[in-house]
Amino acid sequence: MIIFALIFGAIAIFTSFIYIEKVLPRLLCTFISGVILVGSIGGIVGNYYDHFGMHKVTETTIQKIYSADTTGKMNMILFQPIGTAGKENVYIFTRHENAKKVSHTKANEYTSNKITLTKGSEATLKTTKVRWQYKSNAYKFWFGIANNNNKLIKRTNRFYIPKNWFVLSTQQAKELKKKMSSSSFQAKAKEEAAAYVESKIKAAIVQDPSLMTDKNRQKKLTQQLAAEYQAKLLKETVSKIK
Amino acid sequence: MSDVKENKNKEYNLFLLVAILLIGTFCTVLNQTILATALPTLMKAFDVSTSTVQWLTTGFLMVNGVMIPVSAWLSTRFNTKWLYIVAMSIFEIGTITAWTAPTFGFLLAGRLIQAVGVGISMPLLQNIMLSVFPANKRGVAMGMAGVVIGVAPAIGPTLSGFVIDTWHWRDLFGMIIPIVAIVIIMSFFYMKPVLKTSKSSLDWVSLTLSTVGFGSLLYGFSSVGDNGWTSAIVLSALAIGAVFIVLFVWRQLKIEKPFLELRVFSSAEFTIATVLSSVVMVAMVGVEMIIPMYLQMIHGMSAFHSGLLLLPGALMMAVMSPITGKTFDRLGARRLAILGLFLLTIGTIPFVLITKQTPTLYIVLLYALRMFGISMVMMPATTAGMNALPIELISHGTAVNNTVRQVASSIGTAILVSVLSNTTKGQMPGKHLLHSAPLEYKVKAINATMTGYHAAFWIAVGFSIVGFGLAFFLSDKKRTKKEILKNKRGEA
Repeated sequence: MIIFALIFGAIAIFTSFIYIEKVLPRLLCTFISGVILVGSIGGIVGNYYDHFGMHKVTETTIQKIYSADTTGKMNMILFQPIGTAGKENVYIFTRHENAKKVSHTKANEYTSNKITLTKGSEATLKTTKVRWQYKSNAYKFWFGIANNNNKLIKRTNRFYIPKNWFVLSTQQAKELKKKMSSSSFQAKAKEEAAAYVESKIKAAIVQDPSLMTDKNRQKKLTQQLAAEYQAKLLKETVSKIK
Repeated sequence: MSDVKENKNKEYNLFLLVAILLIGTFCTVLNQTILATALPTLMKAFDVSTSTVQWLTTGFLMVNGVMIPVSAWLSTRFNTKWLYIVAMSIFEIGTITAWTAPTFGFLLAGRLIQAVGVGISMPLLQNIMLSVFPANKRGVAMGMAGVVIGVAPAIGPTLSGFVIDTWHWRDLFGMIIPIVAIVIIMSFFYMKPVLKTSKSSLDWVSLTLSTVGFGSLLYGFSSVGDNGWTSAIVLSALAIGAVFIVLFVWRQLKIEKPFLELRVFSSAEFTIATVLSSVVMVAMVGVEMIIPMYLQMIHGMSAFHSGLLLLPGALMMAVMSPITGKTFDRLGARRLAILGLFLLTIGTIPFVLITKQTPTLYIVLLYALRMFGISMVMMPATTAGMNALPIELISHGTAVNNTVRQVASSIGTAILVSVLSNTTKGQMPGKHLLHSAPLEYKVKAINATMTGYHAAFWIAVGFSIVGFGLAFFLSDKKRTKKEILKNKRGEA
């Protein structure tokens, strides 16, 4: 609407100042159309400069997120640094369990990210978006044509990540993958894993000789120990990469 | 009016003559602003800065301005028909040079050669129009000339944006070549020597003084962007310019047949009208150059899209030109100029506060409002200035008015761009930030550029306010009528 007021004001001020012959009506009409014109320009400037008629609206969403490792082997969240200062990062994760596609935070000047390590076992993402919205339908009626409703001001992503997750840069993840897929590493890991499991089982049998005969319990323990070793190995490897 | 009658008796084809003139001049004047939306593209193509690329526009305007008095002499010395053909041929050569330019230097050279052709043909248009139409039809005649001289530069940016996005920047020049070729061929048949000529000589000393003086001033103001206001280059160029211009003016007042008849300034009406049309020209050309940069660099728009947004404003000029022409014949220039400059001022102030997210609809609207105002001042003020002069001074008046207007718009635009680049440069974050934190760099760089735009628009507001104040000193209708009557009696 405001643009029609401006156009009307502009045409009216021209018509009245140029075509009205008598001085008094001319000045009166010019003044009135001038007020309309200047008023609508003021409204427009207020609208874009000072967000006249708008207020900030904050909306928060919380969602559960999953590991960026789509193979499901490791729990981790990745980040890709944008600059060398490390202040600006894009974080990579998945939105669904067993998702094949990873999601990432937006790389723009409106988005900021924060990571908090928590004691819980689930990873969550709390997104806070702040937008400019028209205060009322009346304001929207006047200025909505400018298509500036719901303009984003700020988006804050807060990641709450369990302590046992890995937070790795994409570079680190790459190195990790490379290291772990090398045959020498795998052979060594296999060997060490067998040794680790064996020694632990021996120790367990010493403590509880009944284990010796219980094949079921032994199998279970073996699996548990293998997983334990895997985690330990990962932690060690990651700490070496870092 | 004896000239006109004599010419009428020869029964030349007025329609075709005017058509050739208008089409040819349209092509040449189009080139004043055709690069407005193309500048960011050219900056990339030749890897040059804002303050370098602006030479393509300001250098062009400057050569234009300096050529105008030469044109005034040429038009009284040489056969109009051949003069027009030569002017258009020079323009064609410049256009071909720009079209094929391998480096920025060649492009600039092509532009300056073009400008020589435009500098001759543009005032020729006004002179011919003024002499083939009687005084009481001049409002309409000048309105028609106004469509060409005012609208061609106004649609330049939109057309150039379209061409750049669809084809290549070279086609901006390529597309003009065949049209001008046709105009040149047609001129052999339909152009007539309508202006009276006599043997006279050109004062080459004055030409040199004015070229060096104004050129040096332009160079000084243009170098501010890269070197800052207090650098030795800027200050010495400005000083040299000032000295040469003083010498130039002094010579004009001293010699018998001056290069530029500066005595026309003894008419206060003419002086005010000239200053007004100059101020408005700066307001138009300068902002027309900055807005596309803002739209392309801050809003990330394409050249065509940015040009398209300037179109409503351009159309405003086309629609208003005949209306203001008629209004001028009825009321004179004063009321139109007061209103026009008021609208220009209140339409420019909002630009000082634009943000990086200002909706484009508002930009379009406010830009159109400015053009609405400009259309009420440009041609009416020029015509009022002419009418204030006795008939024998009109051709001198045209020359002076056009020269001042072009030179002022050249220097004014250079100042706007210099303030823009200088302010931006001062606020720009360090390059290291680009690597360490690119997003922060982006925000800071955009803010720096915005500060630059704001500073440039403040200058534009300043020009508008000065113009608004001066408009009140224009005389109103009654006196203008008397002047015209006096002029008519004077020549009878």
